This record gives sequence, C-alpha cells and structure tokens, in this order.
Amino acid sequence: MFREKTVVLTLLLLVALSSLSQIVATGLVFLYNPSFEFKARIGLVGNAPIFERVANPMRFENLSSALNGLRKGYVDAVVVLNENPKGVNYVEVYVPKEEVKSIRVIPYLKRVFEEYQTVLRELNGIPVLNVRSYDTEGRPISVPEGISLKFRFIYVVLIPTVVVLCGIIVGIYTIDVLYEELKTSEVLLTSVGVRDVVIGKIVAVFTVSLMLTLVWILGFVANGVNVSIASVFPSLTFCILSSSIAMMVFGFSESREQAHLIYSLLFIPLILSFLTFTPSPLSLSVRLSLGILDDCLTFAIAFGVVDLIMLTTSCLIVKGRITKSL
Amino acid sequence: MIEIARREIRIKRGSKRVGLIALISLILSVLLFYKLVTNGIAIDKGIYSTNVPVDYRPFKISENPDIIVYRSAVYVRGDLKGYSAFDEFRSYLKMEYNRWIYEKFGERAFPVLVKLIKVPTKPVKVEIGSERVVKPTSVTKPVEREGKEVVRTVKENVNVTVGKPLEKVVEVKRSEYITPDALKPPILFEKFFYAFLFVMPLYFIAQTFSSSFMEDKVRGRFEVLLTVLSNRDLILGKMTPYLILGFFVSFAISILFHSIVMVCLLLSILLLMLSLDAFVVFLSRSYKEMSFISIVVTLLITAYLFIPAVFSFVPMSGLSPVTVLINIMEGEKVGIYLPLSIIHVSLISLTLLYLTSNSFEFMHHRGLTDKLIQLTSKLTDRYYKVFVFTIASIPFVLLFEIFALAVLYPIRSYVFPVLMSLAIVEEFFKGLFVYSSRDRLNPYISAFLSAFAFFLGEKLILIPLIPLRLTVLFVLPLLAHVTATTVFVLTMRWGFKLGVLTSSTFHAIYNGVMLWLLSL
Repeated sequence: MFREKTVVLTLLLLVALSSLSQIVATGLVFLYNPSFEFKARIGLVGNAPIFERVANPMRFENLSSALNGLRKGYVDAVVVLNENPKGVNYVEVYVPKEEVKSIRVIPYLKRVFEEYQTVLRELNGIPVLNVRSYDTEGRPISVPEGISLKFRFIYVVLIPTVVVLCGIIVGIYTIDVLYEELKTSEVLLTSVGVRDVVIGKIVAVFTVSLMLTLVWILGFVANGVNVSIASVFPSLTFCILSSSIAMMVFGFSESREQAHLIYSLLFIPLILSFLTFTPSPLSLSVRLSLGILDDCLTFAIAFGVVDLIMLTTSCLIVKGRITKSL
Repeated sequence: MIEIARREIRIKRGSKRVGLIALISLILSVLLFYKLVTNGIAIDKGIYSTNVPVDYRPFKISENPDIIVYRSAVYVRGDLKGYSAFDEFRSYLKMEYNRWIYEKFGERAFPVLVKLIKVPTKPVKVEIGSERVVKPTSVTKPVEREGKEVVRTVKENVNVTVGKPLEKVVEVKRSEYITPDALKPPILFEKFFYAFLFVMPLYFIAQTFSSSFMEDKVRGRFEVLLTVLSNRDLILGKMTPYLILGFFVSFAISILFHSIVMVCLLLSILLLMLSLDAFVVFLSRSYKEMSFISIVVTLLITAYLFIPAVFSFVPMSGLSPVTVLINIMEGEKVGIYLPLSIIHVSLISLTLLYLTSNSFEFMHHRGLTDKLIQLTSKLTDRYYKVFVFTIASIPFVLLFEIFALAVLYPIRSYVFPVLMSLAIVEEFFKGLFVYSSRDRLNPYISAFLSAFAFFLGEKLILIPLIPLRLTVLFVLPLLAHVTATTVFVLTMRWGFKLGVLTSSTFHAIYNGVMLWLLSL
C-alpha cells in the first residue's frame, strides 16, 4: 500500500495539515490573546484625574503634539478625554494604523478602559460584575482572557475541516477507483463476480478511510493536541457517507469528469447543512474529539444506520452500473 | 486556439442533468448559507459543561462539568477545555450583565464610550501643522479649551454601540462609539472567511479544468490535436473558457466591493490554479494520481496564499494576492503590493505554463524524477537558462520547504532531520538543472551558475529584512551553495538521487554548524 504514491502523498498531506494548523493556531494565540504581556504607553490630552490614576498616562499639551509623539514612538496610544465623573465620557483614542501595533495596543487599552469604567461605575453607585475563579482545590486562579480562541480554532474549526477533507479524498478516490475498474471490468469479471468486485471496492474504501482517520488523529496527537480515540467513529461515518454519495454519482454519471463535477455540486450543500444543523457528523466529530460521550451514542447509532442504508443502496447502484456496462 | 476554446465550451455545455443539479445545488447552498450567516455555525453546541443551566449554545449541564458555578464563584478544571469554558462563561456573564445594567440604569451604566481612530505611524514627510514634536512631560495643567471642544464635537455626532452583545444603538449621528468590552484587535477572521468564499468558486473552475485536461491526456487527444496545433495554442485554448468564466465570477465580486482591481487579483489566483493543475496533469500517470496530487497542491497553494493574510502586518505578506484582496475589502490602500502580488503570482503561473507547454512529449513517461529531468534537459541548452530556471524555481522551493517544515513540525526538536529535509528540497532543484544539462554544458560552470542563481534569488528575498552592514556575511552562504553543487557534480555520475543525497548532506551539515555557531 505504501508503494502507492497517492497514499503516501495523502498521509503527508494530513500530517502537514495538522502541523500547519498548529503553527497558525500558535501564531494566532501569540498575536491576538488579550492577556499577552504588553504594557502600552498612553498619552493623554485633556483633564482626566481618575483616568490618570488608573492608567498613569503621559500628559501632552495638545492633540497635535500627542499625535507627533505617537508617530515618533514616545507613546503607543493617545487618549483625548475631559473627564466627567458623573456622566458619560466620550473618549477618542488614537492608535497606530499598522496592524501589528494595534494588535498589541488594543487589548491593553481594553483592560485599562474596563478598569476605568469599573471605577466610574462604583462612583455612580452602579453594581459591578466581579467573577472570581478558583481551581478545584479552591485556590484563586487567573484565567487569561481570550484563551478559548486557540481551543475553538483546534476543535471547532480544524478537526471538522480535517474530517471534511478526509471525506473529499475518499469520495474522489471512490469515483476514480470505480472508473478504473469500469475500463477493465470485462477481463476482471471472467474470474470473479460483480458482487465480489463491489465488496472488494468497499473493503478498499473502508481501509483508506480508516487509515486517513488514524493518520489525522496521530498527527494532532504528535502536535500535542488531545484528541479522543472516539473521534475515529464520526470521521469514518463521514468518509463512508461521502464514499456512498460518490458511488451513487458513479451510478448515474456518464463520465468520470462529469462524476467529479456532480460530486462537488452535491458536496457543497451537504457540508453547509452539516454546519447549520445539529446533530450532524461534523458536530459529532467536535464532541467526540473532546471525549464528550454522554448523549452521543444515540446519534452515533443513528448515523451508523443511515450510513449502512446509503452504502447498501449505493452498492446496488454500482452493481447495476457495472453489469450494464458489460 | 479559438477553435480549441469553442470545442471546450461545446463539451461543457452538454448535459442538462448536470445543469439541473448545479441549479439545485446553488439554490440549496444560498439558502443554507443564509441560515448559517444568520444563526451561526451550530457545531459548537454543548462543547462546554456546567452544573447550572446557561442559556448559551456551547454550554450544557453535566454531572462532570468543566466549570462549577457556586454563588458568585466559579471553580475551573485545570485543563485547556476548563479554562476555555470559563473564558466563554465570563464573556457570557459580561453580556448578560451589560444587558441588565442597561435596562436598569440606561446610558449612565456605560460611563466610558470609546472611539478608535487609527493613524499611520510610519515616518511622514509633512509635519502636522507647524508644531515641533513635544517630548512627553509631566505637565499638570489641564488643557481645558481643546478638551471641551472635543467633548462638544463628540456629543453632536455620536452613535453609541453599547457593547457588541447588547447590540443596542443609541442613535445620534455619524461617528461610532463603543464600550470598552467591545474593544478588540483587528482580528481578520471575518475578512478571511469572505476572501475564502470568493476564492472558492475558482477552486471549482480549476477542478473542472484539470478533469478536462486529464481526460484529454488519458484518451490520447493531445497527440491528435498537436498534429494541427502548437503546444502553446493547445494549452491557451483549453484554458480560455475557464479564464472567461473566472472573469465573470471575479467581475461580479468586484462590483460588490466597487473595486475593479479585484478582477486582476482573482484572475491572477485563477491563472495560478489552472497552470498548477495543468502541470499536475503532466506529472500524473493516472486520473487517480492526478486527483490526489491536485488535492495536495491545492492545499499547499491555499496555505501559500492564505497564511500570509493571517499575518498581514508582516510587509512581505503583501506579496500574496489574498492579503491585498482583504486589504481592498477593508478599504485600505494597497500601493505597490497590488502590482507586486499580481506579477509575483503571474510569474509563477507563466513558468508553470512554459514548463507544461514543453512537456507534451514526456507526458506518458514513467517516474516523476525522470519526467522532470527529461523536461528540464529539453529546456536547459544554454548557460543563461540554467541561471534563469534556477531563479525561477525559488518560489517552488519555498513551497516545498513550507510543506516539509509542516510535516516535520512534530519532530522540530530534532534539528538534523529538519535541516536535511530542507537541504534535500534545495539541492534537488539546484541539481536538477545541472544534471539535465550535463551532456551539452560544462557541469562545473552550470553548478556555479545554479548555486549563484539560487543564492541571489534567496538573498534578494532576505535583503529587505537584513541590515546593510551584515550583507558581508553573505559570502559564506555563497561559498556553501557553490561547494554543495560541486559535491553534486562530483557524485552525480552514480545517479541523480545519489548526487542530491550527498550534496544535501553537505548542505545540512553546513547549516547545522552555522546554527551551532550562532547559538554560542
């Protein structure tokens, strides 16, 4: 199997995808995490004693000199504020236009203004939200804001994407394998029956699906991501579903080129529906990869049954098509 | 060429069944997409668990929860899932809290409203007004006049958005103020999503083209067509209908964004995909192989085009048309990066097209390396061609290096295998042109030209990032490139692969020593 160039390429593709995604995830967290340690220097134009206590800014005579200071790098942001402790304070904040600087400055400003807002609320007798977090031993802990970004990126974006990709690969593989078979079916069917050919194809598709699934799971584990082994099931379910659709398309298409096109046309709304409605094989892949098993069993059985029906129907269609072509 | 294009359109117009499926697929996709945009992606339902009911889709009640809410405290399980659950729970609480205090205290509940104004901080030629730069001082005297003026202007033109979750807008006039909770860095996810959406139709156009091109190859139509057509006319004729279709798609998108230059950007991306697919057809022996290589190449090219857009603040990222596309969608000025990105991508496409148009006679040969050697042998009959082709191969080297790095990322702590893989990619391309031209050109001169071309191309990319005084350090890499290719020439008599292996080993050892010296 490993002498086959396509199989090796696919394996490398999945490993590369899981690693590339990890690199992007790390980059995203590094850049966009609001808790990323960075202390911006704030310039202030106006009269704001409470804000000064909170943010410890540098004072400027006027906006022009403050903006020049921003351009020259003396400060990272300029705040224009004439404080009104009892009313609403409209604050103009000048930040660098260059995105990398904004990414670093804005989260810091957010923290400062939230703190300032809390002080003013307390001053005005407005109740303040204070969420305290503790570990399971009851010790206070500080949970970084925005930490869920990486978690969501891996489990809600990446894993469903890899599952979809495996499905596409298996679908295309099925169409290609069946059309290859069609060319040689006359010779082949002298020694084996149509039923054996179809079963052989199903075994091949199932093996490829299983291999792809195991590779992407191993790829993620090698990159330090916790993926439950239970995620084998939704990935396999999706691959078999995709393969069944490909087999049906094979049954009704006139050429391989047309089969690829029809398969693509069917696949787009299918994926959109799996993203829109839940439960779906994709939502199952998210939950099972996280090891959430509680209410997944019913859905898993339901999808398994749907797969079985689809597979049986598609096998009959393929059998009919091969027989017809003889 | 026109006749080939007409024939292609005639074939594709064919089946009514496909037309009907396409129509149904389009209607369904539009409806589902609308639901997706309005309701959001549903696959995150119940990914977190608590001990109390939370009216927020990702949360559900569980006996073994990620977070336990007890009175005003939250107990968090100490793993990434637990922390993420708390982070999102905290955001949810803030949202509910904001809603509650807004209902109870009105606008007074939000004493701070912020308006972000972005100003360029790169060196400017014209000073603002005539004032000199004032260094920060501890001036204590408040600036009453200007401050009051600011507040007055603000009150006249305010349009307050009280936090994103609350989504209540106090209508006044033009400007937009937000609560501090809603402040967020310029995350490009949304723009990224739209850019992907616009590029996606091009993938399908390219896929249809590659199927058609492969069909022609396996059915032996090329041989027949090439008796009356030139290679170039055949390829251009096959591509024209797809480029026209791509033009209409791009034009529709550009109308949406009132930017006609988007047509050029999208067409350059399409041209790249078509030329890559054409080359993939040349490399593949069968339909199945073509499909798989095409998937790998599509993923690589997606990474090549889209990853720079995630890190769009890096100046070099502007070389990707997707970064420029996103900047245009943002209403930003793109300047020199518009022509640069189009030229860069078009050059890669033209190189691939040139290679493919010269490859028809080797299409049915076996073995990837043999095919490439035969193709490059045909093309490298002059010294200057060795030089030019080596420089032209650099974007492909970078692509394969990204792929190699990604594959080896899990074992990144083992430096030598990583260095060896990168060296193999570089030495393969350098050696390819030397080996191909060995019968007609002096291999040592070719080796020097190939090494020098690679060095030049590689360092041209790096020069903007390295201080001028350090450019003297480039002598050593040049020597290393020349030595590596000389090692290749000395060992290539025992075969191309062995040559690549020995020169790569030398290259990897050199890189390892350099890394070790730098770490001292």
